[in-house]
Amino acid sequence: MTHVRQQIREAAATAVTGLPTSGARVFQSRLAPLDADSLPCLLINTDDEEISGLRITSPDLLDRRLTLSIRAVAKVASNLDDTLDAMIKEVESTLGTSTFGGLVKTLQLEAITIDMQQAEKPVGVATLKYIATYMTVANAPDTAI
Amino acid sequence: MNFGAHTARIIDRIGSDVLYTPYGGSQKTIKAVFSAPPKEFLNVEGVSPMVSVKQSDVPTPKHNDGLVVNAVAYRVIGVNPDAASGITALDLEATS
Repeated sequence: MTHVRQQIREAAATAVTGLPTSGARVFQSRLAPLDADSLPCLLINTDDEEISGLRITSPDLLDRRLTLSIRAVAKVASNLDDTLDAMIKEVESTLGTSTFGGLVKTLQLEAITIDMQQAEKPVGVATLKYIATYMTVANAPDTAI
Repeated sequence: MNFGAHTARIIDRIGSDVLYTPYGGSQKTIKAVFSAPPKEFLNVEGVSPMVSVKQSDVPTPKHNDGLVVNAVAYRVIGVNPDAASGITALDLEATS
């Protein structure tokens, strides 16, 4: 079994694959620059994680708050804001209050940030920052409980 | 030495024919030097297209003037005149 972080990232990628705007262009933890054939797309990252221990068992129970970032990326000649908003809507509608089949206790959208730059066409990134809460036992990070 | 005349000859010699259409005006063919250096924008590959034109050809360039370069349509999104050389650099955005 993989770490629950990876399970959550993969579950999120599966959930948002096939959305109307981004289609199959969903990439996990991608660092390489995006070319025209890769757009519009969704980038899935599992970022920082806050962890607090609960000493009610041995080993400890870990109460975890994972930042799941989903970035909608587009480059279009006009109405970039409309494209990004449409992609945001598609992601929000799909994830909703998903628990990824019980992997997470809650999945909450905490913030949306927007970046835009001028290239030969306007480029924009909308970042949806989700907080996924889940629990593991300290020595079993591959099993959500 | 007339610097403006010198740079004009450079544009004529190394420039290409482009179609220039002032916003709301009539199209004409002028010589221009086109460049599109590659750059990354928010981790997305792209280019920053621009042309250099003679101010005698385009005395009053404005945003949303149209250009067709190598069969690609652009609009002007930035105007950078240089009085000494008589050249204006125009930043471009693809229209489709």
